[in-house]
Amino acid sequence: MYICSMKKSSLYKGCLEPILLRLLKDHGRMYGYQMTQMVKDITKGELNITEGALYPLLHKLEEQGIVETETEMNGNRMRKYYSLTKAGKKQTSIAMDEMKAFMQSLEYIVNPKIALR
Amino acid sequence: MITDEHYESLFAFCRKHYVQYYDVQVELADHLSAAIEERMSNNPKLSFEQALDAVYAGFGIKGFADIVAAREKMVSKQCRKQKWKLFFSYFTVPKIAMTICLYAVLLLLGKILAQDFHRIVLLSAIGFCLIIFEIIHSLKNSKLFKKQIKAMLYTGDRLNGLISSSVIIQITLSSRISKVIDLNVFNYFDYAIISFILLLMFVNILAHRDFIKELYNSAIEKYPLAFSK
Repeated sequence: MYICSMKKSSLYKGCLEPILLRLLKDHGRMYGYQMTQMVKDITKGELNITEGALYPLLHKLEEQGIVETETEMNGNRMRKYYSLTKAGKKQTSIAMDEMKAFMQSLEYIVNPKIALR
Repeated sequence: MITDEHYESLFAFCRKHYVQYYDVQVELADHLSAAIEERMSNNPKLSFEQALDAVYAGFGIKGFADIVAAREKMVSKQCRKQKWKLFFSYFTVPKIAMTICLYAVLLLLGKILAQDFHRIVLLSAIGFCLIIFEIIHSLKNSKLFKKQIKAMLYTGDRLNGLISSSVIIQITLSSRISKVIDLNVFNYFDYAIISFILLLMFVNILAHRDFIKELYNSAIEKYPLAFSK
C-alpha cells in the first residue's frame, strides 16, 4: 500500500515516515510533489512514493504535531509547504536511531558472520 | 508550463472526483499541475488531458478518496485536541485566577441568599444568561465566517462542540427545580455543584470563542482566496 512500482515494496513498508522526516530535516520545508520526486531521485528511481500513501501520512504527522504547514502563493497558484515542528525535529532523531538499529539487526540476519564477531 | 485556465480546470477536476473542499483541492491541484508539467516536459507530444489522466491513474483505484478521508480524520482530531487545550487553559495559570474568582463569587452569592428558592432563581437566571450568551456567540461566529466563499474542511468543525451546553443547563436546572418542588430539598452543596456545572459551561463557551478566533485567523492566513475581500 505504501510504496508501489517496485517488486520489493513490502520491504519498505513502515519506512516511509522516517524517510519523510529525514527529507524535511535536510531540506527545511517541502511540498508534496517535491517529496515524491526527491525520493525518486535519491534512490535513482528504485523507490516511488504514491500520492495515496504520502498525503494521508503527512496529514497524520500534522495531526500529531510533528509537521506544520504554511501556504504560499506562487504566481496565481497556491502551494502548501510542510516543515518539521520542534517536536518533529526530536522525533526525527528518534526515528533515525530506530532506523539504524533496525538496519543493524537486518544486517545480522542477512550476514550472520558479522553478529558472531 | 500549464496555463492558468488549465490550472483552474484542475479544481473542477477535483470537484468532479468528489473533492468538495477547497483546502484539499488546493493541495491536489498543485500536486497535479507539478506532475503534469513534468510529464509534458518529458514528452512534449503529450496533451494536457493525456498527462492529467496519466497522473490521476497514479493515485490508484480509489482516486482521491483516501486523501480526503485522511484529511477529514486529521482535521477532526486536531480540532478536538485544540478545543480541549483551550478549555483546560482556563484551569491553568494565568486564566485559572479568573475561573477561581468567578466560582468564589457564585459561592458567596449562594451564602448570601439564605433561602433555597432564591438560590434556584439565581441559578436559573445565570443559566438563562448563559444560553443568551451562547446564542450571541453563535451569531457572531456565523457573521465572522460569512466572508468564507469556499467550503473548507479546515473550518468545517467550527460549529461542533457548543450545542450541548444549553441542553445540559436546562436538564440540570429543571431536574433540580422539580426536586425542590417535590421534596423541598435544595441545600448549599446542591447549589455549589450546579454552580460548578454552570461555570464549566461558561468556560466551554469562552474556550469555543477562543477556538473560533484562532481558526479564523489561521484560515485567513493559510487560505486567503477562500474568503471574499
